[in-house]
Amino acid sequence: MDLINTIIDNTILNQTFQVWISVLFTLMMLSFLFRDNPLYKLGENTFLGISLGYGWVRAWEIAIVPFLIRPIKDAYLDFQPYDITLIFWLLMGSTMFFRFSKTKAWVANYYFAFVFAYVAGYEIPVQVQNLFVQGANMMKPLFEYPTFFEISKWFVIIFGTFAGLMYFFFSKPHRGLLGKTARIGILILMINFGASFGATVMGRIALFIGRAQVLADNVVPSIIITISITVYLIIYFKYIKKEPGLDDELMH
Amino acid sequence: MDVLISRLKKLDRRWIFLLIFLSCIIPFWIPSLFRQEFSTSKETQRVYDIINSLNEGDAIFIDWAFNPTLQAELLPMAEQAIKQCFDKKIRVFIYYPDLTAISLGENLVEKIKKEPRYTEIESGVDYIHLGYLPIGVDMMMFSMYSDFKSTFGKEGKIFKGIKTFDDIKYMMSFAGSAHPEYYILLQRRFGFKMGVGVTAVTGPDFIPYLQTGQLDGMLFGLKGAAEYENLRLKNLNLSTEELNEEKKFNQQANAGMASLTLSHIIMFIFIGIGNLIYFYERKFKKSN
Amino acid sequence: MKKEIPILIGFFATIGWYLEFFFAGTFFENWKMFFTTGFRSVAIVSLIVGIVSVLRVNYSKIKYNNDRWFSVYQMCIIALMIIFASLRGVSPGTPFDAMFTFGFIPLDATVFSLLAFYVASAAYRSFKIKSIESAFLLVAAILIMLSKMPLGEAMWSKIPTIGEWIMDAPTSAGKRAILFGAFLGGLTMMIRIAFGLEKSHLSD
Repeated sequence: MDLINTIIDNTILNQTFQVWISVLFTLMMLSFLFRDNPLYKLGENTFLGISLGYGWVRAWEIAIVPFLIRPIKDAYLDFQPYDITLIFWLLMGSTMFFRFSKTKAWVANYYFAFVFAYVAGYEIPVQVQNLFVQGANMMKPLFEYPTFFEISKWFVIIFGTFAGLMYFFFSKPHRGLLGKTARIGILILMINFGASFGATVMGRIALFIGRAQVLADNVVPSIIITISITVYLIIYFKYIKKEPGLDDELMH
Repeated sequence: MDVLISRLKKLDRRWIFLLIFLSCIIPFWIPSLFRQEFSTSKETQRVYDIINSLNEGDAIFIDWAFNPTLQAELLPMAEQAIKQCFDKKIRVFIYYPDLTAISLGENLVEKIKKEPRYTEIESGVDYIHLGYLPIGVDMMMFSMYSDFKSTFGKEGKIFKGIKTFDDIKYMMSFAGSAHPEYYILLQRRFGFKMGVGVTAVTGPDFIPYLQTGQLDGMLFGLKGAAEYENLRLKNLNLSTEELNEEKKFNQQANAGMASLTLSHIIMFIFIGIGNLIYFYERKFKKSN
Repeated sequence: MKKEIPILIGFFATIGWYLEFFFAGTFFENWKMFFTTGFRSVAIVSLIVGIVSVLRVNYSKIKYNNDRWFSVYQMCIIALMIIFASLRGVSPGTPFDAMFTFGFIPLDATVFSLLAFYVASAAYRSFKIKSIESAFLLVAAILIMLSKMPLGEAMWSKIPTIGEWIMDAPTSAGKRAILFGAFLGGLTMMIRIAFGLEKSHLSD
């Protein structure tokens, strides 16, 4: 036992080891940018292993024990009338196993029909409410706005939303006035997509900046590991795996 | 010229990768590369003002719906929001709708507690991790409006005076997906006050809700986080020395801003080159 | 029996939840608590189903030598996590947590950040002004990017205002048009489910 504790303290709980391992994992995954390689695969499987192990342990501790095992134990030791509901729900849950069967899959219908209907039932009024909230807000009185800047927004929002909706209106051919409105609608939608695209680019780059910070803060491990991974990749693609990969044609 | 164009057209994409990589990493070594001042947007200011207007002992609910994938953008936001609550002695309830988010939140709070300002913060009194529930937001909301405490099966002094979700003064949802929309759908029904901290990717989707008032306050991407950091530091009323001391702990998003600028300049240059090639080729084809 | 009764159950469930919106009360409080605990139990059963299915997939991979050693390695890591958790618990500072912080976080965050590079490369390849529509798209994208970083403000102090206008007016208008469509589509779908016209979620 002491041996195990010493090993744990000197590897995963050692600060230097922690820094090196996080830099190593970061660069291992980045090596995919060069080409798919065994290092990336190793990282991928480590990722899956840790996330599954983490999820199982946490689920056991947070969900399975307090909300499944403990109630069952309580019901077994001291049965109360309301425990019948627990039995009912566990039976409902176990119908899901029937989905694996080909002939008896319909048993699970009882549960799924109920769940979908529940979502429908609670969402219908809520969605209508939201639709009205959005619509009402769009049509606020113009004179409430103080500045030209705000008034220009009012015009664009009202006519833009209308034009955008007209673009999705397919019951009549897009000619004449409808065609012109739909044309404005597509421009509005394009600005919308442009803004979304710009924001997407920013968001994705921001994610990498988070990783870049880790690499930049630990210069020595980063440089040493980068060099070793580069050497490995060169050796691997030059001597071990010579045939070109599937996506090499598309590499430019 | 033709040779150059054809070279550029067949440019191996790995060169672009390398340039983006370097443009993100170099500014960390040369932080004074770009001017770092910027104004605060009205949504960020709103989040700050709302939390600032709460009284000591009020409660705030944080919905931590992001896992490590999005921590670069959302972790600084969550950190600042929690710190602002601790500054004002507001009780913080942190709920995780995602299993892999739990350790992220626990580690963040542990890290905050090590800072000199927050050594007296106590678990179960000033904050609590409510953990994860395997049910949807709708069911959780219904349950929280019936009985807040029993929904999560946790105990602590922090629950004193909080019977239902009505007693929570403000909620913030940090997410990089459409997850906050589940709350927004129920917002008009129950009438709670909520703000979001979102990544730049999903940010534009929440603008209509901000305009209707269903959302009150939004932190948008890395810049929103940086604005929030600056805003909080500015309003702490510290002396210059203390401010420099505090800045050591509160510059995570600001540190990335120079990289954001440089990498986008590279992006713009590449988009420009792409368009130049396109126009050159079109002209060339026409003249033939 | 296979579909008719579930549809009938569904119809009454929809009506029940629909009415709940208009008449909240003690009856509905109990009704809601009954289903909250119920859905929680069912979700936990499905968590167990998930665990079983991961084990099954890995078992068949190991048996039929489909990336066998990677599967073995993956199962070893899972076992390691469970051992760490049982040895020293899961709170911050334990080996379990260190595996998460220094193993999972770099891997997870880096995999996702690879997208940054592909987005950049895609922008270079395909972000071209081919028509008026694409010009609008490009200009909006660049203005939004400029307004959301310090450089834009350093260039011209009005850039954030322009960005705000694009976000608040045309983007919000476009988003609303899409939102209305989605809301109406969702409503139609839900009404179809309520009345049993939609059966795609039920198997034969």
